[in-house]
Amino acid sequence: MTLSGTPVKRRDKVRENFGELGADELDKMLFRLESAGKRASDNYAPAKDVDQKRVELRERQAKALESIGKLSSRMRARSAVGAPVVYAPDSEAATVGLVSKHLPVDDSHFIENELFLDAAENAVWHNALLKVGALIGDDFDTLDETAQAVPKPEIFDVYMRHVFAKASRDTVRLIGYSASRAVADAMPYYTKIIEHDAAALEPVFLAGSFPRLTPTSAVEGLAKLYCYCDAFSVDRVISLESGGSNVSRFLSKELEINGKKIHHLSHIHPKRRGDLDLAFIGNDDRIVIVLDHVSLKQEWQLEQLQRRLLDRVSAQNICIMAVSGRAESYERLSAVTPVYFPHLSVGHDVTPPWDTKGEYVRNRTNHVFGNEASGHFQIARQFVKSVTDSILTMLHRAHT
Amino acid sequence: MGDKLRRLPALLCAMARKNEEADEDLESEISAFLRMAALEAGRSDPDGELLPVADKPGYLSRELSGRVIYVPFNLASVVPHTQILSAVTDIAEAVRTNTTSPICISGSTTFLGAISEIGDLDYCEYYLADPAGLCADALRVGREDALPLACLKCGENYYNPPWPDCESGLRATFAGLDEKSLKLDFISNGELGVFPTSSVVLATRGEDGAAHRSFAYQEAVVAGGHPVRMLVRPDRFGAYVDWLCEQIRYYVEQDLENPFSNFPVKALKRSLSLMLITGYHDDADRIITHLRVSELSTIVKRIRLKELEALSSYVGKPASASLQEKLDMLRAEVENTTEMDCRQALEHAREVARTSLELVELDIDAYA
Repeated sequence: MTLSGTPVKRRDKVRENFGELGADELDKMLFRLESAGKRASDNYAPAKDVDQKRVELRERQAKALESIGKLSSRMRARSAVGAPVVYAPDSEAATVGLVSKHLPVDDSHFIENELFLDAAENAVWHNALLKVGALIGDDFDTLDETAQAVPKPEIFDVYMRHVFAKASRDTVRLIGYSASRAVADAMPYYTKIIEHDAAALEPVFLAGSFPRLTPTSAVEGLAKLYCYCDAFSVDRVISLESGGSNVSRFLSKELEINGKKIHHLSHIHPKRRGDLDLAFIGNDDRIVIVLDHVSLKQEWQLEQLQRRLLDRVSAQNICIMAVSGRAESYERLSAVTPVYFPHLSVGHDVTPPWDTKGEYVRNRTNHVFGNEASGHFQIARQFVKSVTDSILTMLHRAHT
Repeated sequence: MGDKLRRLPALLCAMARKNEEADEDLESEISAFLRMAALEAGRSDPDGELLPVADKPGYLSRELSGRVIYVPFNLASVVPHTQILSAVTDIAEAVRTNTTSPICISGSTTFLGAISEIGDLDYCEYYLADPAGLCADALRVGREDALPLACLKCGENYYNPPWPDCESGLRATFAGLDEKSLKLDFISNGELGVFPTSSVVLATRGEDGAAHRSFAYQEAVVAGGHPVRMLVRPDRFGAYVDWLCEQIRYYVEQDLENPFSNFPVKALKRSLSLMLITGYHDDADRIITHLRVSELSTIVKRIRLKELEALSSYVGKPASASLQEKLDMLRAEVENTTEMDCRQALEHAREVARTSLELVELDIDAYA
């Protein structure tokens, strides 16, 4: 089966379908539709509190569906260990998971050893980290919560250093190779940082049944997407409605992809996919589909998009990327095409720190994540640039 | 489509409950509604291949390996994609009793484009040949080796292999039926895995005979030609919505003590059908999303395994190595599922089904 040229043929077919009716028939049909609408409306006499009842029913429905989700996580955890396990409340599971999976207890010398920093450079680096920490701002609250959950403060210090080291390193990476390469020429250890990034692309597992992505993880994830996208030699970036346009535009700009090759698919919903036209894709194009995070619903939509794209390009030329997603989504989608999620949840959907209610289009010029109005976590483009400038300036001063 | 038009299914259901007859205008209006619904559903299938059929309002069609597949508008977005469709069509060819009669996938099999795990494969064949020949044709299918036929239901009686032993009894019962129909239960073991597979064969030429035992709105024709039934039937449309409501009401209240009951899952699937036909697409999406990823699918597997084990015992010959292997795999997949998990999952499924039903009933009540 090939899709070559078919979108046009399909449109013709739809036109034919109405064409066969003829203008008169079409008029009659529209008249009958109007009459049907009137009939449905004239006889409709809902109870006074029908809207309230609808809201209550939807709440009950959502609660039951959520309970199914929670049960799923529990059962999945049990099958992961291969035997019945005692169910721990989510909060406990999150704490245990955080300590065992996230705290780099074995990485106490991460910055010094793995990044090959000497003492002087290390001091400068730490100053830079403090600057990043101050600029990130929001993240201190999250880290404070984490600190409460961790028994040993000294471990928390290491954790903070690790997180900020990664955040600042990734923020530098985020801005683009041109700047970092120039610095790398002057500072050998910076090259090591960049080399380290390749290994750092390994996904991180998020703990808990209902994991949350911290702002720091979001920055880190975005940076990793940038690196992965660059390594993938992407020709075209496709972003999806309500969950990818800002990220994809940001990545595209940073990767210096021609603006004409960024495609925002705003009608991927199965009921409205009539507008989905993939004729712009060439057979040899390497395509990245970008989302901010993959929810359960988007997983299904992505599967359908994968299937449609496979009619035009080979599987290896398509890659789905998102800052976070479920391990199960990763497994399902990666069975068809390459997939990259820097943060994986073994439980339910990941809750991102930014507002997921939309507003993307209005804010896309200034923000990478989130929007101004919501009060949720947001990353402004200007913020990322200022952080990076600060780091680069400090690094440069240290060297000279 | 506007909000007013979306209420039409509820209006038709209310009319069906009151036994109100449709006037001529209503039939024309439903025809226009179905045309528009089919147009709106165009290319909403996973492959983006379905297009409205001009002379069959409400139907969409696509080609598949030289055949034409017909799908009602309400199933377009959930109908299986090419690969699954090919697999279920191959099975349809093996279970059909008459090569010139249309055979449809039915029930949850039509959802395989959206849901990854179902309990069984359902077919419905419209037997267009002389009804008297149906019993002999069914026995011929039973003797073939393509798929093991484990059970044959005729009227209220069940028959199992070896077929020569029960042939005379079966023929006698069949001869006594006013409306000629049979239900055949197979075990299929194909590309999709091992499934209990049932085919209801209805002797009818359209809306006559045993046709009332099924609804065209839940069937996609996968082989044997055109649909023999029209969707432009306000009474049948309303009756289908009413039937779904009744089924949900029944299934959520039955078998409450059985932790592995199939009924809540059936109720949930009926609610999905109800949401699709009444235009509650967002609710349908929510149900699909949770059905396909949650461990309800593990429970569905468990129920499927139970049914397969029961059917295997009737086949009368040892299961093939391939079948045995797939059954063992199924057992391994569900072994960590506890009774408590099942009880809780099924109770939540009941609640989702109940709330979906009540949402639609609010609209129907507005026409009472």
